[in-house]
Amino acid sequence: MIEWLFPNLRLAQFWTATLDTLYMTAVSGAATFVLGLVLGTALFLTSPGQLLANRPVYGALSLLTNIFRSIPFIILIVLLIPFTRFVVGRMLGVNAALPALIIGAAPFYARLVEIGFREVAKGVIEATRAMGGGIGTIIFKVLIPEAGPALASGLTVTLISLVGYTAMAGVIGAGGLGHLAYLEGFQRNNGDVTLAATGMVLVIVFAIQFAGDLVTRILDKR
Amino acid sequence: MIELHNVRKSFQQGRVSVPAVDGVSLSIARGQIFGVIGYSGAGKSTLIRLINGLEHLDSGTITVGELDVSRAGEAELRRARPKIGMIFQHFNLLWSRTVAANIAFALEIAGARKADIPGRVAELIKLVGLEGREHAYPSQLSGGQKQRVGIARALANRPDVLLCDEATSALDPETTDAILDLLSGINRQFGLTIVLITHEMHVVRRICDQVAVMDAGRIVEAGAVSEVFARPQSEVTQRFLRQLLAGEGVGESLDLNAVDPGQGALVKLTYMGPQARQAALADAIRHFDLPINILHGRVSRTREASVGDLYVQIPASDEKLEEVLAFLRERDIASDIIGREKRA
Repeated sequence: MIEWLFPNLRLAQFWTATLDTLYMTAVSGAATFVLGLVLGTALFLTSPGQLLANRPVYGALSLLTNIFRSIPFIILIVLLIPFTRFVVGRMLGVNAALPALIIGAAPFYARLVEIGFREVAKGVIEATRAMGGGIGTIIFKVLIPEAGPALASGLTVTLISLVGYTAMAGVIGAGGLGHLAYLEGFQRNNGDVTLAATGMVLVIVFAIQFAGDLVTRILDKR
Repeated sequence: MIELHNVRKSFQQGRVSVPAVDGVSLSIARGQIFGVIGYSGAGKSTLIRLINGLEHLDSGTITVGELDVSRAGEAELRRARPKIGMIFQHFNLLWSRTVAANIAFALEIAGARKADIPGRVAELIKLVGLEGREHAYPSQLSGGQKQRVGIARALANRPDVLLCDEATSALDPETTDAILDLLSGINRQFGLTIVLITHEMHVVRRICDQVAVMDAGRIVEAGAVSEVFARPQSEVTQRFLRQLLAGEGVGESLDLNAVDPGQGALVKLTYMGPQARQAALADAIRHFDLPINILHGRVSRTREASVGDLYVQIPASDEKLEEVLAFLRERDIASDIIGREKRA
């Protein structure tokens, strides 16, 4: 059946490409979550009217975030080639895609984190201060748990963008489903391979969306 | 317990500096329920936040117990705050935590031992009457229940002082009374000093010992509740008094200013209980030979007795007045002196 529908598809290669895409999405997603959370927290706390309000720091962080969020991903990969060579050592393979993926997605997630934290009622932060809570308590026991659903739905959106980014990174040598669709499918005129790769990307995206919605719903006690 | 001396605080609005608290001095004794009443914008919210250092004052001194709040650093304030509980108009609970976990939060912050937390939380839940709701989330509770969680959380670390920021303003009248009763019970049981700010006269009348009337950042009048409202000196205080009457549907037909204070004390009589009869007032008039003047009111007869309120003016000296009120009390008619004649 599979051979009849996709005559040019080599299953072992298809499977490896799928795992590569999942690997790049998962690793860059985890790093984006941590980095974005740190950057988003810093953005929120230094913004005007907040606990560590600091105009110059907020301005600098905000500018940096906006710059990296604005550069089209395909250009970002090229711009980051020297940096990637330095960190990873080479420009081919799944690990070479990670720096660009993380630097491309973290600022985006940071903004979503900042927006999520803004939704946390100011009164709750005030109540925590009134009980004697410091900045650590406010970040780890108030902001993050109270913004839980927003953090989860934001991460869902970010992960789905990352799946798209990995496909782009694949075209210029990172491996994964994008690589398969472009090199094995498009360039060798095997339409069935391109179609199979697309189908798998859709399955991954739908699975992320479903899991993300589920987690968001579980976290939401409002 | 709490001393404020010439406290000032202003906020920057663009280029102008707007005073919120403008030279306030107050002395609040241990175990008292002290009310600060004022309209919104009077500066009372800022005032209460100065007491636990959530806002930093510009000048003056504030001491709470041994602590000089006005000189303490942030770290010292953080250590002191578990002993100064606070409750809020909008409750400010963490919706991601259950009732029990919200109460435990205050204990976690104060560094309680993990093993001690569940026992203390259970005690507090019982104290505020929320047994059975431990595992509910705030979104599943009514306003009154949320405020009970707020109170339990504020009391978790056995504070010496409880600050109430418009704690009943978001509640309906019945729930307000239940929460006020809980607060005054806690005050009696633990000897806790309570400072509450409100814009509702009813709250002050119901539970406060002392009251300060605040307007435009200043205290315009302060003293025992009965004194301040029996002889209102300032315009704001009189407005609050009218608000109280208006709340009972009296505002329209009874203008307090139109009542000639020379004609005697203004008293509200409440008929309640099996012995209350409309004729009791007539008996009093005859018994004391006083021309008691009925100003306003409505008393309706039920099968057993009369119920309702009557506003009357009693032209009598203080001692005589007491006798009249005692006479009525024996007949299940409660009284509330709203205004006394001003003595020149």
